[in-house]
Amino acid sequence: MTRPLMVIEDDDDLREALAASLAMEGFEVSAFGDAREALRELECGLRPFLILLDLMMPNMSGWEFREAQEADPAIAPIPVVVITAAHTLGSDGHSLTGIEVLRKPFSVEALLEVVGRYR
Amino acid sequence: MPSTAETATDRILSHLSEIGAGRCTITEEAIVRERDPNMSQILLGLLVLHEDLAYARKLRDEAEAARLVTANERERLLEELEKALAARDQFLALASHELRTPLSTMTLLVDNFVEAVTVTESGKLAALITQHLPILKRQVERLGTLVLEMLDVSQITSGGLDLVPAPVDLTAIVREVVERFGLEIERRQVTVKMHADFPVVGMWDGARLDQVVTNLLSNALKFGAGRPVEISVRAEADRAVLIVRDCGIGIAPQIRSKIFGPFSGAVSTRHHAGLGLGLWIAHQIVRASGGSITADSRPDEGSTFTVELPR
Repeated sequence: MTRPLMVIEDDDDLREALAASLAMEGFEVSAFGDAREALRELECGLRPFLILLDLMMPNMSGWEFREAQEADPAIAPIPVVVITAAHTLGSDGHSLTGIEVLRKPFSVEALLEVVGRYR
Repeated sequence: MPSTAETATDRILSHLSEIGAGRCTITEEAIVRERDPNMSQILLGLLVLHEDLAYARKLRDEAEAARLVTANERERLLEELEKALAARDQFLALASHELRTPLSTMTLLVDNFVEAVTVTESGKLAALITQHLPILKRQVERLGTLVLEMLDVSQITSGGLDLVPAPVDLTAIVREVVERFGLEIERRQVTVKMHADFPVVGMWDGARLDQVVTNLLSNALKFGAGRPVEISVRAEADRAVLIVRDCGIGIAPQIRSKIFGPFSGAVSTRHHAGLGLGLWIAHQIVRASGGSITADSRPDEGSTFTVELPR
């Protein structure tokens, strides 16, 4: 069974553009505008091969999502690529050491190159 | 007599010691009453010395106080400068962040178009155009708004807004703005109730008033938590009153005083899109129009913004 690719991005238009770009290349995409909802899906058993994670989001930030993910052994191993326009990746003591980062704006080519490495 | 000489020396030394400590018990009366003319001269000299020293001390204290004031003022100015620089850097970082998000969307969609034009059949291309063009249009508008806000910052900080007053109907402006937000309102599934039934005409800058209404409605939708938004316009004897009310997340009391300031950080820029300048710009426009803008808000109950403009 094909494992989906999870996209967590609160900006509606960017999320849609990401999902459309990835779907055009044949990826099955599970897109979420709220990191909490995405976390709930993961806790319920959704197992994407990769999570594309925005950082600055309402309700639950990307840093907080990572903290929750790392605290749960069942979902901690799922690789994450951060997609961000932020200058710095550290926030409120949360660290993203070792996480691959795709800086906005990025091309479809750059997106597919990164995603392809985890497929 | 040695004893008299000793007494005179002791008196002089005693006076000198007192003068050295900033005190002096020599009086003009004592000098006049002094029988020894030499001692009288010495006492007079000591009194003059005390007064000169007191004056010199006063000058020194004043100079020291002035130096302290200058040092404190310099420190204050330096602190203000550092704050301004930090605010500028924060704004530039935020502006860069905000510009990158719509650019990301546009880059991806344009890439998809290029790919579709090259390899996809015409039916798929048509579907792609239908799906992507509205998004592209929104991103262009978003970038346009960001650029205009940045230009407004430049204009306001370099000397203020240049308003062009003309007879304007505030009700018509509100209707136009609400209509312009139609797709956004639909997308957010929010009910916007409008109480603006009669023309409310005044001498205002129409384009700038449009900006005030746009910023207030945009905030009400953004922070309204999907609950109903109310917007009303009414005329009073010598003024127009515009009220925009939402039932959303509200504003915490500790930051309420900051919301009309520039780069206030009143709203976490980590969590909400935008430069965070809308209320500051609205405030500047209303103030330049001779009016006032106030906010009443409770966390998790919503916010009410009231604009009063002289007619």
